[in-house]
Amino acid sequence: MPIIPRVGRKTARMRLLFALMHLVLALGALTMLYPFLLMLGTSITSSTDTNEFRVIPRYLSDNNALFAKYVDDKYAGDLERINLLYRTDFKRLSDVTLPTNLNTLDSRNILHFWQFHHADTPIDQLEAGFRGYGVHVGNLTLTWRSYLRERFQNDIKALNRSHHEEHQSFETVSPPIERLTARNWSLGTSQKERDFLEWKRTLPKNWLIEAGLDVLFAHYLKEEAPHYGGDIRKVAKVWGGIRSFAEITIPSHPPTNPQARADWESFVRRFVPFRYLILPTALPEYRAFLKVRYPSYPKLDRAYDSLKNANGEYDLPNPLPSNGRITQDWGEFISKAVPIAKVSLKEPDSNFRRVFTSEVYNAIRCHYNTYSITDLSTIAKMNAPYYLADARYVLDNALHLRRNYITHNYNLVIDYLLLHGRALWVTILFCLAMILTTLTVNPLCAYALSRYRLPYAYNVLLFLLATMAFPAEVAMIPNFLLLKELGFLNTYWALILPGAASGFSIFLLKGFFDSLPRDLYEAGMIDGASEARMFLTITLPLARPIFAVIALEAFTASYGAFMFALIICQDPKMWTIMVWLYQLQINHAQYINMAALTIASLPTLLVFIFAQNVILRGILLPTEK
Amino acid sequence: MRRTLKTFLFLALLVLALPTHAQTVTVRVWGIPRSAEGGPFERANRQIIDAFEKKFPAIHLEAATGLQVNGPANESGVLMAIAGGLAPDVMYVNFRQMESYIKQGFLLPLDDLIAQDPRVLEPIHPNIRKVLNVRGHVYAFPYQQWVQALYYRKDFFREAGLDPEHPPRTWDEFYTYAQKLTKPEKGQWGFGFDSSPQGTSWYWVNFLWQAGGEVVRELPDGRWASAFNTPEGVTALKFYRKLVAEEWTLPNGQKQRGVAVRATDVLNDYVGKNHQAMWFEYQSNAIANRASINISPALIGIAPMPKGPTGISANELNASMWGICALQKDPKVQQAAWEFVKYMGSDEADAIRTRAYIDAGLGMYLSPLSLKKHGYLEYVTGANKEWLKATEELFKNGKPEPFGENCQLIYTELDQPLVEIGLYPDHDPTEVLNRAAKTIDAKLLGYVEPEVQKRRRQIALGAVTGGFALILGLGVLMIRRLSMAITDTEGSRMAGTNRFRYHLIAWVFMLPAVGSIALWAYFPLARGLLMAFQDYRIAAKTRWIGLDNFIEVATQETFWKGILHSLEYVGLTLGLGFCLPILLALLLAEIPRGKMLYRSLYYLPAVTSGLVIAFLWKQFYAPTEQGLFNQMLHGLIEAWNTLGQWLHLPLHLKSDMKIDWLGDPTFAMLAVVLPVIWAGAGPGSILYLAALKSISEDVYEAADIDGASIWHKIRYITVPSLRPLIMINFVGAFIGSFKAMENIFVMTGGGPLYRTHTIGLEIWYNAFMYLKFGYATAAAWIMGAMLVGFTLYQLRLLRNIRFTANN
Repeated sequence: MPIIPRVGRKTARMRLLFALMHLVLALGALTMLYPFLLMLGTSITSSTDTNEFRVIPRYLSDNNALFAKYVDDKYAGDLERINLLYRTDFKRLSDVTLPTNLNTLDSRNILHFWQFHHADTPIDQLEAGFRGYGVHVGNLTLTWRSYLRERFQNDIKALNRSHHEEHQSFETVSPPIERLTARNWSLGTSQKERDFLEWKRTLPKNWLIEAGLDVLFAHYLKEEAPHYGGDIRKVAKVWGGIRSFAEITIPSHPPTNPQARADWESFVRRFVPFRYLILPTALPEYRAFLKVRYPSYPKLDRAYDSLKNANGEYDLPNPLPSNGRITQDWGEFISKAVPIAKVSLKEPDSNFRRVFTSEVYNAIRCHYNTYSITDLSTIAKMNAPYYLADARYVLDNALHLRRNYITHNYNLVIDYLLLHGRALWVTILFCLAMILTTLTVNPLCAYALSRYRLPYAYNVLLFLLATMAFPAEVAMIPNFLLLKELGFLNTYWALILPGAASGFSIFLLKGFFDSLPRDLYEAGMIDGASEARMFLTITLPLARPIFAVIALEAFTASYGAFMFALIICQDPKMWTIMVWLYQLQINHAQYINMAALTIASLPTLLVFIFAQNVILRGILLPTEK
Repeated sequence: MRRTLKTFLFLALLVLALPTHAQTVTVRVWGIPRSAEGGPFERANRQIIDAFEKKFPAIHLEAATGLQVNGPANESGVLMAIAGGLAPDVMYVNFRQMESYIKQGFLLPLDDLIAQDPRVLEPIHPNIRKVLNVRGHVYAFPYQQWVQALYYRKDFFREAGLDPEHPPRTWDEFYTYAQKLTKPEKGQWGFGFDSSPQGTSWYWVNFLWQAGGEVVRELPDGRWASAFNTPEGVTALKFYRKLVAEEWTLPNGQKQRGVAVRATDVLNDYVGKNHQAMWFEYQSNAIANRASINISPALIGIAPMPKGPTGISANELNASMWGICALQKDPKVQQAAWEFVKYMGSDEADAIRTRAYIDAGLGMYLSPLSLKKHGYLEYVTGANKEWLKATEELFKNGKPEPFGENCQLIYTELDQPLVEIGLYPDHDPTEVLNRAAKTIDAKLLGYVEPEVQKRRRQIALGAVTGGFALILGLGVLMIRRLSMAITDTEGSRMAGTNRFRYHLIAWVFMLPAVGSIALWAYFPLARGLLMAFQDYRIAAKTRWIGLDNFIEVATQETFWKGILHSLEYVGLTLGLGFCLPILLALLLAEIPRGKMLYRSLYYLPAVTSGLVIAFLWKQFYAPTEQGLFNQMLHGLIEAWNTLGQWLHLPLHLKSDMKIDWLGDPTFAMLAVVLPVIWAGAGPGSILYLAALKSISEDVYEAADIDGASIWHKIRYITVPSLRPLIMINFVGAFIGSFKAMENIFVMTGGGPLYRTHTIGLEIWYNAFMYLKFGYATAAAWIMGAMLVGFTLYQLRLLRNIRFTANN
């Protein structure tokens, strides 16, 4: 601090000056720090809150924000479905809040009852949530991948063989798509689907979403039923006392009101999944249908072999195959031939109402009714307490969920990087090799130039330096072609060799070696030390800080290089972390990128923290001769 | 009986297959789906591939992948893979790519293979067959044929009081419909253009054709020239302007700008989220409706496109094709690849696709023709019959997408006039189109009038000879002076006894470095000089073309833009950022407390790599209102408005202003430069800080005694002692930022409207995206020549300087 004189520092003017300097520096430091804090903050967000750009995301302290995040995650961002399930009318996912009636006695009781019902719902009526959507990779996908990695012992080829796919790494593997509400969907029979089912049974209960028909039926009345034209008032006239489509519930049996019955029938005939239909008494109609469809028996025989019973007659298909002629005919039978009075539904939503009705009925009858419900017909208008269930889960597991959301993006990136073939090894090897080569090639040459007083030493130096006159771009393309012709593309050589020698480093080093006291070497020579010995015992210890700086530079350059590596090593097996990151940011969300960037800066940060003093000592400063 | 026959056949096949099975042929295919997840389209393709592998057990298909590039070059992945020596055996080709691939020698003529089975061409629409025939050869085989169609939401039509059975037939109707369908209060738009690279013009070419215009035309000599800068083109451009930028009044009296939204992913973000009433989307010979599947098919209408003012009906016609890579010489692999290509276009594949769609519950979406053919009559409904009507007309009116040389990038270039007229609606459309046509002619199609070319060659010869002589002379002079000066300084020689051995040891030490520089710097340099005079091609024959590359560079607008923008970039970087580290170092050196803390904080950017910083800032520049910079802007505007209220002055600004920092030509360059300055200040100051410490305190104390002020001390002591460092850094920073490209590549890719297109990018794009190596090296040499003065000056500076360790 010599420019500002030591004397007179206590004067008001000087104090003002120092205050001003502090202010400027602090403001500047803030602009340096703030982006990194934002980066950290954003790296633990997800799609509901990524655009809020907060240093500390809201969900860490606010339960509503946490709930919105959870809901978005669980239902793959499908707001329409969420509103229908919850009977709410949220405009945006980030607006989703906790229900207000969560703690009433009724809510608690119903929820308690529903949990038993949920545990009993068959697996083919439950959809696995947390699937992720768009650029958001959900927890389901992540856990599925780690399950498969364990199962196939990290061997992607084994997975490809078994599941009949073409992945190059586990990173592109995703769980099979379940279309529980598609008409002819059934539990698959392929190896992949069987594996998935087995694994799905082990998932926590809150991951499984009931694929009930309320939502589908509401959607049908809103969009598909032509006579309503999407008008809720017209629907309400038929379906009684509802104010929004979310309040629609589906009866398990054909209703009596003729228009409602017509709606129910056309919905059942055209849209309800076959698995949800029960029609045990429709066997005579089925046989009649087959007779009409296949007047000649032999043709029928082959396709329907499996349905034939001991008496040579055909039974109802059970279970129904997922495709093929039987299924096609079954669809035809349902949509045209079966008498609607013989059909009823077996699906989670109406099932819950049915079971709950008998529970309340029993409670009323035996006078231990804890529910405020006294009129059983209100239950027919009730849907399952999905909203309450999700809210309860979030509140009970807030800590766990927060921890999970903090680490989610990082887990994904770590998975991506570590398991991406060999990115980590390639990067480490590349950096090490680069450091080693630059630390041998350049100092050797500089040492020779400095110690051996060759008459043409400076011409050599000039030869090495003169390439700086030409921009790297001139040589870039021929360099690429040279690598190609030498067969070095997609090898470590291509990454290391072209950048091994640097004229400028040699120049710097020679200057440094020149400045070492000559007496040392003369003394060494008198003692009869060999050249190698002198290099090791005299030069090396003195040059350590400079070597450290050169090594550091080689490290940062090779760690950060991505453009040339992008071209000369296009084989994904040879990609360094930086190239993978570049690929990652193309098709991932912003918050994942932020997590990736944070992780990518860690190695350099660590190196700089530990090498800070070495750097400062190793800086070479120019002075005029 | 039949069963035994089948068993026999099966066994016979097995026997036949066994010996071949032992030597499976692997075919690497670019762009096959890896798994059955994804959309129904991918699922169907995956099933076709599975069926193929089952049918041909001796052929193994492998998904060939390479890297993805974003920005304007997103389709160049396969080109880069080929350039990088990882050519796939079978690659996806569409019309706009075909000619370039052929010229580069990537595609194998399929004539012999087709001759084995000429019927394979039968199902192909005659309009497409015309395009396939390139100078008497066929290089690619279509497996799906596409047309662009007008899709619309019937429910939105009904809501707006329009008849869903009467889609707009003319432009005027289209515009009035779009007005009625635009409802800002619901966030609903009448139409939409995709603003991601190549998106806008991809939709717009339909309007161009409807106006009676053409994109490119083939000249009698087989070359191509642009053809859209005609009155018809102007009509189409004006219509585009009307759609996106013209102000009109809503029924409620509010002003509204345009009826079409421009956003990066309109299909997902607007159509898919029920915010857009009409859009363009493909239909194929197999799939009648390719709309995002979460919209119920009953709500979607598909129609031929509206007729232009002259009554012309037109829409884009395209085909998904497979080509076989000519670099694969093994006839066995070629044959296997052909089996695959053929299979993908076969009826069998169509049957599998149809079933896959039906299994997915999407039978409705298929073309009734395919449904009928494969026996799924029950899925033929009113809606898809209606769509089929549209399909027939669309194929009839289909205009093949531009398929001349280098047309794979035509949409990128054709976006430019559209972006320009969108940003500046008052620009003259004729001029905008003329400019674009000039660029496209020069850049993509390489078309120059023969006489002009001849004259240019003469001028170029003179200029280049003169220039080279000058540079060579200067260089030699400089190097001689340098070497003399250096040799003069020291020349002591060791009186060695064994001189040969002495030299040998020295050379053993020096050889790795000298050899490496000779091989990796001088050899490519010399070779680059040769390449600049060649039309270098990777797979096809390389020709000598004299000075044509240099002529092309000199006449290329983007090259000069690159130079100009590089200069601007250098100016901004140095002007705004060069002094910052020096000031920072002064502050850090003088501040009595907190030095370590400040230093560490300022050093943070150096800890992350340049790429990380570029990505980080790209997020801050997000054009949405949540982007950090837009938030700051919002805060400023709020403060300003509060101030205005407070002082009772009419200072009110609109508070919903948001800026697309990287997408607006006014801000783009500054936006690209800022992160560089921000990241460079701290690490740069460390050097100066070390230098400041090396100044002896006695000097300052002496000055104190003489009563010098702080300013005087800085002016007369500090700055002169820092001079060598400042000089060296300045020259280094100049050369460095002149060549800058990586950070720009990541942040803007050179856009918008070439506003951040620097010379480094020009070279990189031409070399690795367009594979114009000759052109790129010529450009690099010219850039080298421009910088050589600076570099020599740098060398001269170094001569007088010695670097010593800082203690």
